[in-house]
Amino acid sequence: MNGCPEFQDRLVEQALGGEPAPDVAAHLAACHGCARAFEGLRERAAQMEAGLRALAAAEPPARLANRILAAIPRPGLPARLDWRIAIPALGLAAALIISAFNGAFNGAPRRQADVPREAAALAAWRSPTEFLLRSTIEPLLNDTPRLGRAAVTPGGDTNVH
Amino acid sequence: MGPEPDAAEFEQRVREFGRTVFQVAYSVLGNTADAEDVTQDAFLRAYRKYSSLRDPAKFGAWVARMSWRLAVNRHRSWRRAARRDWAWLASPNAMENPELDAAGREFELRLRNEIARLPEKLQAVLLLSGIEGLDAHSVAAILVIPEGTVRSRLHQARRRLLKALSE
Repeated sequence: MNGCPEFQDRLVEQALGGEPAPDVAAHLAACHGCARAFEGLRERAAQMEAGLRALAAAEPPARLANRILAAIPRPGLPARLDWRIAIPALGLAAALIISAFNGAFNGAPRRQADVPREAAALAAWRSPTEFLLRSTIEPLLNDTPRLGRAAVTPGGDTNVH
Repeated sequence: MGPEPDAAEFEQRVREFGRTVFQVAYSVLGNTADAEDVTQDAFLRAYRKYSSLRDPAKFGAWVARMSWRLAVNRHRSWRRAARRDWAWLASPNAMENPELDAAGREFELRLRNEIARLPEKLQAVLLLSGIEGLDAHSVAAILVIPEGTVRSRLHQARRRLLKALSE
């Protein structure tokens, strides 16, 4: 943009449709440089206005309305899964389950009263196949022989007592 | 929260305001794909928050405001990703409008770049005022500012833009 510096802002105003001031009109009639600059500004302003309208002049695709309506949750149907919410929620649920599991098997304090009862139960426990290891002479083997007492009766049975 | 809107009523609103809401997003983003995404997001939010709308007559401005904010946020994220230049260059309808000749495309790119240099408040009124059917009253309703402020900002924006384009 050329022309006299003191008139430039006023030429811009006038090119944008501002009220023509008498002193500007008189200057334009006398100054060839400003007159040429003003013509350039008016052309540029028209181009700018057309360009501004064109920036948003795009038409939406015909499918857009149906796409929006299809995305709206219908009554009775589950809303579309939002993974931005679902992933953290699943993570939180997994963390709660793991912490509950750890608490049940590791973290929960045991009552002292339970310990002797569990120990007694363990001591009384016998293998289901333990009877296979027993023999008819087992009582004899477990018995301590005493002096003057027969270990085996004449009938062949072991002398238990 | 109150009840959601009647489906048929909401469909009518989508068809009535969809074009304007899309163009609001398009004016900021400059490409159809992103403008479509933003338009859909804006209407879905409007559907969920319908009960918070006190005056149903203001639905158009309300959902257009959502579209504007979503579009501006998306554009900011582009800038944060240092892809603004790519977005401005690749997205405007210079790429989508085959009727524009080389000079027209060059001018449009320059126009977008000069608008991007303006303060956001001026950009807003400039872009929204360029949308067909949006007068100062409508722009004021979308941006929730007085109508007089829209007019003064628009004048300031056009003046600065013309000076920049004439250098």
